Amino acid sequence: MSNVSDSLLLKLIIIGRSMAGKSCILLRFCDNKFESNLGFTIGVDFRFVSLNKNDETIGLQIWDTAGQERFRTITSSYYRDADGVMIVYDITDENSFDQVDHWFDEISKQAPPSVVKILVGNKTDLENKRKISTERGLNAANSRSCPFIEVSAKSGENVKKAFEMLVDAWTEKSKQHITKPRKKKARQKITNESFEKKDKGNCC
Amino acid sequence: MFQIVNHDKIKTRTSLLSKTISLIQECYNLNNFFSVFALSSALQNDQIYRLRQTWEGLTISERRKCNKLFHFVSSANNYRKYRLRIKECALPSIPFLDLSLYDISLLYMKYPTLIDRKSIVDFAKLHQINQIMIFLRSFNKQYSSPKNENIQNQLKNIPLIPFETISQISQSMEPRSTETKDRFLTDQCWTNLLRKSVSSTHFMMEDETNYGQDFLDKEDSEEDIIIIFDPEKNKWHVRAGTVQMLVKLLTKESATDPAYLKQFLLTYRSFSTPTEFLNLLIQRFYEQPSRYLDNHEQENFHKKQNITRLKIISIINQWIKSHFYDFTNDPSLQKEISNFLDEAIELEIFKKPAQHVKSMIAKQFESREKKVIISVSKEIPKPILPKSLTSFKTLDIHHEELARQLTLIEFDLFCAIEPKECLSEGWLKKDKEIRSPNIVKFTKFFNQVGLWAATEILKCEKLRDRVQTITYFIKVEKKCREFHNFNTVQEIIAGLEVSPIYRLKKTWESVPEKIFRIHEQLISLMSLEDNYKGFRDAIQNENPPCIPYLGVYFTDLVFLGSGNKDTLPSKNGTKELVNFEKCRKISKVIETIQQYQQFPYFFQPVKEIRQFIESSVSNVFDETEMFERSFQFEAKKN
Repeated sequence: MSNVSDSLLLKLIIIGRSMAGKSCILLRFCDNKFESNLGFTIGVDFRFVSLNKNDETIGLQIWDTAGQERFRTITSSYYRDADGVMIVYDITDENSFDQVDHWFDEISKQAPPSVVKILVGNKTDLENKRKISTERGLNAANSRSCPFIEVSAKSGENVKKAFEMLVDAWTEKSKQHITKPRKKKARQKITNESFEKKDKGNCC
Repeated sequence: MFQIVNHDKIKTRTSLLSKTISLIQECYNLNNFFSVFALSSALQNDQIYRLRQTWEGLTISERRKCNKLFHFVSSANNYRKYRLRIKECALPSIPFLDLSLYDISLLYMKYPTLIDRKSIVDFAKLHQINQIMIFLRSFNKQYSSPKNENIQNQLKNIPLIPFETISQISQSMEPRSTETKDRFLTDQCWTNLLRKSVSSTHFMMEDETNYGQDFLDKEDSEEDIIIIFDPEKNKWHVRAGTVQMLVKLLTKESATDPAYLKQFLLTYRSFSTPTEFLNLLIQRFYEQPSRYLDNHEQENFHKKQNITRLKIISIINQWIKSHFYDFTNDPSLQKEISNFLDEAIELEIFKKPAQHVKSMIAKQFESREKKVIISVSKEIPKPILPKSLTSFKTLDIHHEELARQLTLIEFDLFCAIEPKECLSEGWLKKDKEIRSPNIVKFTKFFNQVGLWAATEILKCEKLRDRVQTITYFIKVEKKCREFHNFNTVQEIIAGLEVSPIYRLKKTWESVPEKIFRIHEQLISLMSLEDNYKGFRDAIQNENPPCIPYLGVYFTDLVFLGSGNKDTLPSKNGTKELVNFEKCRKISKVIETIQQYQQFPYFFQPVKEIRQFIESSVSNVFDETEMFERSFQFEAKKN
């Protein structure tokens, strides 16, 4: 993490119905970070990926609650301080697409208003089992004015691009809000300090 | 030994070294274990071992061969490798006499010949010694190779060179680099070299003669199995194989790895079914020798088969003992196994073990019905009861007592989770209620308790009461942390962190600073950051009983599940093999969970409080109601 100390650090979260392939997308994106033969304690830093964008290194801290979807109550704390959210559905599963609305609702309630979103349709490698057309996905994204992309975690198609699009969207948005420049340095230590600042600061 | 040291060219030394290794291998093949030990110990002598450059000159396969031989003569587990080998090798052979002599002297020293001075002869001891004698006498077969008088004479006349001389020469050939750490360094280099050579071939052995001797028979096809060498534990293990082959390895007469059986039993449901597993075991039990074997080999086969059969019975025993739930709801499987055991009882030598297993099944059925009550060795703390047990509110329960009762309830729920529920991400699938019913119950309770805490806070109209309730739950959180009940810690944190509570700025500001600090510390302990490093470190340092936050392990299981393939192609790509490496990793996670299920909490259950908790948690506000109330207390800003 040391080499990006003075560059940007974004906190991203991946959400979506269980089995939509969230963990696969993350695994694929971090491909060069660890092998399929991952050790017992899954690498502590595989959720941290740096991305090169216009000669600038952007650190992405990706939070994923894969496997914990049933612990519904904990998710709300993950949305706090998020800079970007990736909403994943499975193009072969109608139910997972139906839930997209629910996730957008959830974000508007839980996440900070400045958060950027991207809608991602996963599993394009299963074209013959496709139930959700690209158009439907695009429409859903347009109605929420957020970018949209279809990926395949299995083949790796578009996975990196999806994260880049999310970062682009964030850059775009942060330009509009010049008043609130978000420097990563200040955000290095995430939850604790920001939490403290918000709540503790006023209390004593 | 002198021969090697006495040549001043590295190359010559290396070639002599490699000749010696081949010689040891040859002796090994001839079952002349005496020479194997003698020559190996010569090579492992400091004066040879330290010649780094000489060793480096060896080829990869020579190094590997050498490592294997050293491993064979290693004293680990009381020379287990050698003992196993000599039991099954064919005659003629020469045992490593020193070891048997050592055994005898140990027996003599450990037990007095006469018991209690009353001159009763300890027959058990004599019997054991006698066994060793018989064992030694059994090597009476002669080697048939023609004698070569010349060489024999030469061997007898080797001049003995004093140690000092060898040592001096060794020093002069490759001087010490640093005075003190020399031995350590060479060892390190040597291990590294071996590791390099092993990893450079992707752990696959190409050398036919050394192809996992402990593991595979000649007739086993390489297409059915991939084995790898673990340089850290210095042993072979299975990377992938067909189901048949995996079962065969379990039952092999030379199979000695109890961890493998455990891993297999924990995870086999991800690639097979209980019925298939049982059938494969039964098939293996009745396996017939191949027709092409000669008499001697047939004899050998039957010898081995008896061991294999005993192994099968003991595997079934283990299976019933630790995974009885496979049988409880499957009458046809029950019938099949009891038929099989009846057949085994008919065979005289297996009568006792098979009967034992049968009684084991009966016992398991009994204990399913009555819960085993563990005798209490620890003092149970006296429950802190509310003033009136007939009518009380949440805050009337002492926070410590609430923490205890929650811990008891959740420990029961936690213990009900069976290993098979953790396989194939069953708790996330649509049929989760069938695949992982207890995980579903466990997580449901988790959510309910969190929401209950939130509800209790939102029930309070006055800010002061809300602050008091938050303070109360933070105290419960703290107590649960002291009880190592990480699950309740996480669920109450989650409850206090849901948006309708989190957004109550004024309420939070009024929470005493000291209390808030505790809450903050617990939040950072349970944070997702660095893949739950805080929690993982904390639970490792605690003594049981513990209730872990299961979400962490579920995430591990999901990533292990999606990051590793279920099958791997065989060496020539003709078959898809079960990726057992993946199973091994998954079983490690499950074993961690199981380990915490073993130690119960010693608190006294209080029926009234328990009922109160259970009814409260099923009676909570829904999300809309929570937000409405929250906005009522503190209006939305924009």
